[in-house]
This record gives sequence, C-alpha cells and structure tokens, in this order.
Amino acid sequence: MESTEWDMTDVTVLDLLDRALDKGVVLWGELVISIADVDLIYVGIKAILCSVDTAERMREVAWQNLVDSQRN
Amino acid sequence: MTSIMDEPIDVDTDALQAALEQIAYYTYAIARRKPGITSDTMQIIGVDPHHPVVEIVQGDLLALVSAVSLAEYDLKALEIHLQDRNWLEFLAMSHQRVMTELLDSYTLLPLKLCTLYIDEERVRAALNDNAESFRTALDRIEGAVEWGVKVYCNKAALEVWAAHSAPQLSTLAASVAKATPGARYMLEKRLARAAQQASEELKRSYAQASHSLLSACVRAAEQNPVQPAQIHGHGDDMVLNGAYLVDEAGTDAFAAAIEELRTQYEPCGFSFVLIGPWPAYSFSAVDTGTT
Repeated sequence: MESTEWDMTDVTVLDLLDRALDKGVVLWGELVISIADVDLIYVGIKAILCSVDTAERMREVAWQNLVDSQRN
Repeated sequence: MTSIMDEPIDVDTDALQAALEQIAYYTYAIARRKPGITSDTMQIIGVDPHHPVVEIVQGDLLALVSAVSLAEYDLKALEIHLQDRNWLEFLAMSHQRVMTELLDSYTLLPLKLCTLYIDEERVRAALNDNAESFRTALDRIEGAVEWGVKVYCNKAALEVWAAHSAPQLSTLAASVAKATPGARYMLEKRLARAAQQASEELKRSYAQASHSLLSACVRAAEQNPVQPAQIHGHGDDMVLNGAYLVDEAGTDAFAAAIEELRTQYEPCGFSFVLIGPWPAYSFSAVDTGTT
C-alpha cells in the first residue's frame, strides 16, 4: 500500500483536522497564552475550515494542487 | 588623511539578516534519532518556505522543527491569521505535506497544528521534561503508521440486496418466489418493508464486522466519529471511520483484509475508502501536563 496508490481526493479537510487538531500531542508552546485560549483557537480553526463551502473548495482545487506537488 | 567613511565596510549579510529577522520554531513532531539521517540530508521545506525542516536533538529524542518568521507568527499576527480561511488552508496543507515527507524517515509522534516555540532552548526543555512519556508513546507506535478506513453505505442498494440475500429474510424471500401472482404483489411489498427495517441493523452490524476484521490483523485499532455528509461530500452515509496502526509485518494482512471486506460487502452497497499513510495520530496520546 503506497501513498501514490490512493487517490488523494479521498482525503478531506476533516480527515486532516480530526487528526492534526484533535489528536496531535499538546505541547504548550511559548506563543500561545493559556490552555483555554488554545482550545478555543483549535475549535475556531476547525469551524472555519470545516464549513461546507470551504470543504468543497479544498476538495476540488487545493487538495489537487497538493497531490500534484507531492507526485513531482 | 582618510576618514572611516573611506574604508570599505565588510557586512556579513546573512548574520545581519538573522539578527533582524526574528524567528520562532514551528514544531511538527517528536521522534527518535535515526542513523544516517541529519537535518542536512532531509531537505524538506517547512511551512515557511524560506526555512527547511531541521532536527533539534536532545539525547535519544529529537524535535522536528522549522523556523517561521515572527512577523507572521507572533501573537498579534496569529490572532488575525487564525481567523483567515485562506491562511489556515495553506497552513493545514503545508503542515500535511511536511508530515507526509517526514513519515518516510521517522516514526513520528505528531504534535497539534501550529505548535510554536520562541527558541531552541525551550524546545530542548520540552524534550527533557517529557522524555519518559515520549519514549513510552514512541515505543507504542515504533515502525508503524496509521491507515484510515472510511466505510460508506448506500441504503437503497443494501435494501435491494437484503430483500433477496439477507439470511434473516430468506424465508420471506422464498415465499415470494413460490407465491401465486395474486399473492405475490402483497408479499413483495412485505418483503420490501422488512428489508427496509432490517437494513438499519444490517448497516450497523456489517460496519462493526468490518472494524473487527481489520482490528484483528493490526497492532491497534480505533473508531473515530463518523463525519457528516455535507463535509465528506460522498453520496452515501459514512458508517465507519476507523483508524488502524499498521506496521511493516502487518501490511500484507491488512491489505488482504481490505480486499476481503470489499468482496463481501460491496454487493451489499458498502464502499471502502483507504486513506494514508498518516503519522499515528490516533495512537499517540501523551500526558504532558502543562509547562
């Protein structure tokens, strides 16, 4: 199972954010003030990127560019 | 007499630029040192295209980071950027690209999007403070990657299949076949209704059977919440969103299990979408406390 064998248009923005926002290890970096603020920021990021039209757009245009750049 | 103005001034433009440009470290993941890999050999461009991804090594552990300009990533700038859809999209995709490239070289303990450190010392401190937790977490996922399996079900197709093939409806289906033309119409209606009712349960149990089959041949397995239809954009309902921790030794068995599921359940209206490889996001829980 190579990554080039799967069609990356199968990956949605929600697949990525469910992982990179909900699951990544939390290390309290220096530039974010407090725990509550961080949670709010991540919820906000997810809300912005998971609106229906954003998801649609990323699916059709942006992800295809990413696929192309990774194949080169 | 010469004045100082006549002497050529030797300016180290790189040092000057570094001094002027304030940077922070965007931190992608924690990993173990690997022989043969150094920051120089990697040649991966970071989320800020002016800076490559480099290792910050602390003993047997390291952080994978790239410099970002504080002009773009300080608190004030972030406050604006984190509300800007275009900026966020680009960040998410760049982050994804870097992680995919790093996956070729390391077992990655992935950090949340947009983890930033003001300097190298603080990255090292984080590595030291959490070293044992990181080692435990890395041991759990060593040599393995995450594959996602998204399972969709077309309810109409499942109902059609259920009417003629579901074991629990076989008696009723047989009676339709044997019926006189007069009774047949009524029995077909009954069968269709029964198939509709059975499908809800069949959808659930076949999804779980799929997860069980996949779980049996991998190091670890998780079920993530299924995604809403408007976001996944697939015509059918998502019935399973599984994450599977697969190592080299288990890859063939996992691939074979996917094929078996397709063979068994595609006739029932199910489709199986494989996404990956990912860093082991779903298997990387670490208790780091707070700094």
